[in-house]
Amino acid sequence: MHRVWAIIERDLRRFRRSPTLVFISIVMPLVQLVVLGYAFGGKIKHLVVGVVDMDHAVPAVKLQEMFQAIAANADTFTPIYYYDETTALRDLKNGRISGILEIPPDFSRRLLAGANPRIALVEDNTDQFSVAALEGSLDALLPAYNAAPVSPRLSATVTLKVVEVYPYVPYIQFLLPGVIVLAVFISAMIGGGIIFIDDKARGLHEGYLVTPISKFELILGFTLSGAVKAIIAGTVLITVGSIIAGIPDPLNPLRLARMFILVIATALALISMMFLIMVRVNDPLVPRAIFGMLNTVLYFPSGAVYPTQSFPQWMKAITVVDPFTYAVHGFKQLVLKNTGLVAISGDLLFLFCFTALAMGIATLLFRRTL
Amino acid sequence: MNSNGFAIDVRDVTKKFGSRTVVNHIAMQVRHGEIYGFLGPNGSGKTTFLRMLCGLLRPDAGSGQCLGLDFRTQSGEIKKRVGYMTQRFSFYEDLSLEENLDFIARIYSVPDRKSAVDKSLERLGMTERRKQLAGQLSGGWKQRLALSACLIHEPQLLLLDEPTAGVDPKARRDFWDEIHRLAAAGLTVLITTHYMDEAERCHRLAYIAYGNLLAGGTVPDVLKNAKLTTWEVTGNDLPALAEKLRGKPGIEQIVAFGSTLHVSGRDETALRESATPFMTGAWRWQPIPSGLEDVFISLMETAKDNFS
Ligand SMILES: Nc1ncnc2c1ncn2[C@@H]1O[C@H](COP(=O)(O)OP(=O)(O)O)[C@@H](O)[C@H]1O
Ligand SMILES: [Mg+2]
Repeated sequence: MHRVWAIIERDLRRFRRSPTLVFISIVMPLVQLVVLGYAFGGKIKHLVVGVVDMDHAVPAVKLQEMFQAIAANADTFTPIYYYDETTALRDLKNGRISGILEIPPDFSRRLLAGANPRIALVEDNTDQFSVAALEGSLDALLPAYNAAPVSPRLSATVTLKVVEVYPYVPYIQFLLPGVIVLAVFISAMIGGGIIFIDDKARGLHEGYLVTPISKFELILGFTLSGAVKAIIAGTVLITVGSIIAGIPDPLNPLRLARMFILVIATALALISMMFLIMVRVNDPLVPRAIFGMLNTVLYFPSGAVYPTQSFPQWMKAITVVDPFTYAVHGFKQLVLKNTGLVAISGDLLFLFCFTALAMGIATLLFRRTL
Repeated sequence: MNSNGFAIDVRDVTKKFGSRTVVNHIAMQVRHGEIYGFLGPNGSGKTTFLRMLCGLLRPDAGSGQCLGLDFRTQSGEIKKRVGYMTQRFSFYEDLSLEENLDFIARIYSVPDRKSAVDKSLERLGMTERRKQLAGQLSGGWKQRLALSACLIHEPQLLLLDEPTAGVDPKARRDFWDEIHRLAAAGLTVLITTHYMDEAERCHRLAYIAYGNLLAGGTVPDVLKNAKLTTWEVTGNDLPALAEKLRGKPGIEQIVAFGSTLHVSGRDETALRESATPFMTGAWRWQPIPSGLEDVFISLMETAKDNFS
């Protein structure tokens, strides 16, 4: 254990002397939290929608009125009125409006004849997010319109009442668990296996490979020292991040204690994974080159930025083995629902088993000679 | 394993990288308390050989003992007893002298680490500078720190890989004095070097080129066995003379030494025959003992024809 401590202490001393590294591993995830949180988080508002009424009969005017009412209520869109379709289409193509509601000339005639009248929504579908928001709002329009003439006012209609178990979660809070894991991951990358590769590149590893230190002592030493750095970053994130994201009662000691345990499990898992990936690499450019890719391959399939339920099958396969998934899931429970440790015991179990497995394989693959 | 008086006694040591044989059936015997010089041009396999001795590289063939331990199967034990100073200084520039020494002492599980580090700093004469970062040291001091670091666990054998490369003459001399003190105290030292004056400060030496051992023994042995004849020429217009001599039978080396020319060859008769026409009034020829450098260059030239 003497030797393991020697490696840990050496590493932390060097870490302390390079403030840039400390800065990067803590500040970068915070920046990401704020920028991504606000860039994706907001509800889409005030989309401009053109209305072209080519019918002008009473039923068409009524439809327009309801549309106007929804617009005033939901704030999602603002209608503007066009006399002809051509001008509206030109504005849509220019990006001045996001969609066009078209009431065709035969709308009233077909309605009165009972012949399934249609209205059209012309969308700028290069922007899926706006389109989805627009369609979501208009979904309310047609049932309301259809229901209105037949049923008397105040009739008992069945509606779906959505019960929200937790208070409304803004996107920045949804993102926080992923960003905590990301901070731990960035530290794992710059403070983990890469240290050994840099030692190799500078010939420093000869200095300790020629000593009686064992493979396992070396790997344990590197893993623990890397974990300490990652835990520091993770700890800053669970506190400062919670405050920035506006989590209610952000410094609740019990929740922070639970999160700290998960930070430790996450740090160990990610560090040992990095060490396993890097155990046979000699070129110091390799880790730098694959960091971006690793980040993409591990972070996004974990459900950190978008729910995993939307993923195609192949990505779900990554999700299952990705330690990020379990870390993110665990932090979501703790951050968003303030649950106890039992709720994340499965996540903790996975992360600890993953650590043991990765370290075991890394020890087998580690070369004690040059 | 019986050490029969040798600190290192190995034979047939061979290492290949891919299809290239970098160390080719080398044998070496180094006595206890001896300073053994290991010479050879760059890329001849010296570093590779040292690495195999201390278990950093696995040899493809060979047998023998190092400090009474089988060098192929007991490298774990050998490591505890060997101090290896790598060609590139293996310490951390962003740690202080004290921290570097402390790290090494811990890795070797040195008992009473604190006093070992203090003693080491004292011997270095750096007690007051113990908090200084190693990266701020000059070349000579770095080399002394590296030497201290590999002595901290009190090894019986020192393997030094070009320890004096890039170090100024005064520091080099101090370094060698220290090596001789250590050897006198019973330490065995195997040292690689490029410098001829350093070769002459070794008790015995070996010369290696292209992975092959070409000569070995004491300096006089090596000189005698080389059977090289050297003439020193003085006079006017020596460059013109050199041009005329070049390529003549028996003339293997023509080297300018200040205002003289050294002409050498292994075939004494052929050399004299080729030289006779130029032994005129303008040039004065005088036989001199061959130097180590002449011998090594001659060995290397021959080796180039044989092995490359
Ligand atoms: N790990 C390695 N892989 C491939 N070739 C190597 C390796 N290490 C050394 N060599 C080659 O072996 C030869 C001998 O190298 P080395 O032992 O360092 O020579 P020296 O120390 O005498 O300069 C060189 O040609 C070098 O390129
Ligand atoms: Mg070398």
